[in-house]
Amino acid sequence: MEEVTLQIQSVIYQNKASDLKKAVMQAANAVRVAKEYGICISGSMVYGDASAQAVLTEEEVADIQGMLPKEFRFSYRVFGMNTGTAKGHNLLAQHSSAAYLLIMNPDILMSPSCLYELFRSMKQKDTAMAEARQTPLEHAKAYEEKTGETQWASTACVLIRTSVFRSVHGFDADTFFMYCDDVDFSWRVRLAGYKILYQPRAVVYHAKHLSIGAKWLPTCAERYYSAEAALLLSYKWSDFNRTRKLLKQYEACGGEDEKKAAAQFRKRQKEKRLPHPIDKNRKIGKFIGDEYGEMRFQISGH
Amino acid sequence: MDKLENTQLQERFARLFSGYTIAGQYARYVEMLTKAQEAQFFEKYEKLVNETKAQDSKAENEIFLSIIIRTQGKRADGLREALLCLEAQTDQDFEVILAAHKAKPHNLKQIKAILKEQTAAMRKKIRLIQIEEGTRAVPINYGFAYARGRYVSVYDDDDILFADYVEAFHQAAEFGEGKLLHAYVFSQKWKENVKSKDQTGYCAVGAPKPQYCQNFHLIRQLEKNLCPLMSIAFPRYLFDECRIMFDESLDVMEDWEYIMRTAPLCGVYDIEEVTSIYRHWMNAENSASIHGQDTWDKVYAQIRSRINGHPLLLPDGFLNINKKKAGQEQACCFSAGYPRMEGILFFDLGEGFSDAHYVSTGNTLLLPEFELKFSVPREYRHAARFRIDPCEYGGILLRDSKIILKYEDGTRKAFLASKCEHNGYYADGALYFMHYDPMLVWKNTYAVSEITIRGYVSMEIPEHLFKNAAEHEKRQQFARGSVWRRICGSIWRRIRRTVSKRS
Repeated sequence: MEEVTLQIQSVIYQNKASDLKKAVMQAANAVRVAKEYGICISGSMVYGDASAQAVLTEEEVADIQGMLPKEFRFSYRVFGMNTGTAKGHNLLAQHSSAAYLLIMNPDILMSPSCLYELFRSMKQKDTAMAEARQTPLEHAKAYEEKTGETQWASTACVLIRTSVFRSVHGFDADTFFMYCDDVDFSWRVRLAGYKILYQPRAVVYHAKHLSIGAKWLPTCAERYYSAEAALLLSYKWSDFNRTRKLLKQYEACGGEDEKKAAAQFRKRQKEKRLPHPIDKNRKIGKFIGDEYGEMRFQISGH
Repeated sequence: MDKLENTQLQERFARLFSGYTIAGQYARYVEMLTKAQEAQFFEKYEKLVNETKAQDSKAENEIFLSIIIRTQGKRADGLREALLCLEAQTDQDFEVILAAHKAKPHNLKQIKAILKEQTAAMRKKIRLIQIEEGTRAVPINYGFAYARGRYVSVYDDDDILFADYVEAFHQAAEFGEGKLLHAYVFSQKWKENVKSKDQTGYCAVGAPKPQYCQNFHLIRQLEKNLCPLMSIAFPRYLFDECRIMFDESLDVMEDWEYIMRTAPLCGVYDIEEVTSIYRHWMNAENSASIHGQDTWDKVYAQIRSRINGHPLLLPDGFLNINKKKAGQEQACCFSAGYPRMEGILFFDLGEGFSDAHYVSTGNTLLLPEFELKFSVPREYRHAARFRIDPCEYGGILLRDSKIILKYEDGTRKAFLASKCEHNGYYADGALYFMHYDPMLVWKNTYAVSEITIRGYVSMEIPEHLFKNAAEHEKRQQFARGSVWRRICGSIWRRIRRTVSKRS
């Protein structure tokens, strides 16, 4: 029996306690199934609450602890501020003694064999991250079919070696609030010489929906944060032409959210708060069209 | 209406309408419908239904939905995903009848192992039944016999559900009790990666498309099935009380046949939300690939003949056939026959064709004639190239097909589809597409506001054409081989140099 230590962590923001319990139940089951298939996982599950008011009561925390296997400890940390995902995950990972971190969105439901499959991927040489496949809407980014190697991993559900997480200093919380923190993190992991694998057999349910016309329906906040992150990511990864193009596009014909994101970027620029550009030869950071790497297909936005 | 009044009405009806009138014939057809499968019901299913009812009376709560999952245990990853989709449902008022159909011992072992993987709550919901006989309809009938839900839906082990699948049916049942409940479905192209032992898995290769996102329309449904099976929840009384069962003699299209017997009787309540994804496999086994074209053609003709053999009751609103719903990209227009002529027009804006830039439309004519009319959005009118995929299926023949371009200034240009670049085989004045995804591509220089493709389609492929096309393809593959290409290229270049020197 192989033994590993793991910290499962999520940053929560105004989630329903019942949904969180469901996610914990699925995670606990995935730990059980991994053990049956020969991987004994022990460690902790941590929720960092970025909501204005704590989501879980003491009784609910006790309930959740009761749902986990005995080798797993549950802890609940109230941040007292809206940290965003990048800072929230850094705070949660700070004191972890586990060899692996599983970073996931709080609305993710793991399939029973998910953890087993993710750990199996980690056996490949130089692999630092293994990403799960999301259903009902699979992420469209490309990956090498034979090896599973991919350009970046979404943190909707990803397994990371803690040593690598620390060696690249976690997420860049000074630059990113909630989008593209995962792209930036993945690219820095690859810059450090590691591989990122996509594991299509490790399936997780991520409740998302499209319009009847099969298009995305982003909220205003999603539009704003993704526009802001797109500008910052291109600047940080030295694609200044793209930064200029995006700024021009947002300012000339963008919606209210894009205009706000462009103004925010200008403000940062003036205050000299832009990230330090890296990967100047652009070996790792690849922007193709509006995407951060090659895609297998695209879902249009409204 | 009380019983006495009902009986009087029946008597009056029988007095007024003889068996020669359409009303009389319809009444006789409905009676026949509820009696035709009675013998089979009593022989195979009555005992099971009674046992289920007895258990049901002891149960504390009524179940809203029984979900029958058909599996042969060959798609372990699919089954795992199917069960995960159920685990994620926002409304947990359902039970699962997992019908293992003709599963080989090692596949059955796999199914049982997958069941063991599930959470305790999920395991409680699932009943595994084993069926060793018959067509794809048999596990559904057994599933119905074991079902305790007020409604029953059927879900294959390779389909995907959104989290509100059960909830949407449950809410709709409040308004459409007794009717068939029908929700929208996306289609999506998938493939199975089997390149190495450790890296098998499913992979989406196209964006979800709103192929089945339109309200149920009985007239359109007469020509072909526009409702993937999981899009419908059937009231259980159809099986238990009316004894209307799936036709076990059919190898394929059993779903269409059942819908066509039940929808005119009960009516359909539409749920204008997408609650599932139907996977179109590009390389994996499915019913379309297992059964040959002959079977499909034969069953299609058989079902059409049955539909044609009795009067039909149309629901109110049946004339709204060309009505386009606001906010719905796909036209609800009359499209008919097999294959499904639902075309997609792709735009190349200089970076190649992609799923990000396309519009789709349906056939507006009765097959074999077809017409796909695309209105080109303003931002795509100057595209460098256009591509029409007239349908998704291969094995089709396009005859006398023309493409008509309407420019922004109102002028028109028409040309033969065979003049485009295409991935078919052209012979005898027809374009034959052997494989999936037929494509027609051409370059563009002006602002095009509307594109129409019109012609005739057929699936009856003359033997000689099939052989010639297969040979042509072999030759092309050979010529595409790198060594051959290099040799040919170098010989060709040498000849050209010599000729140009001499001239």
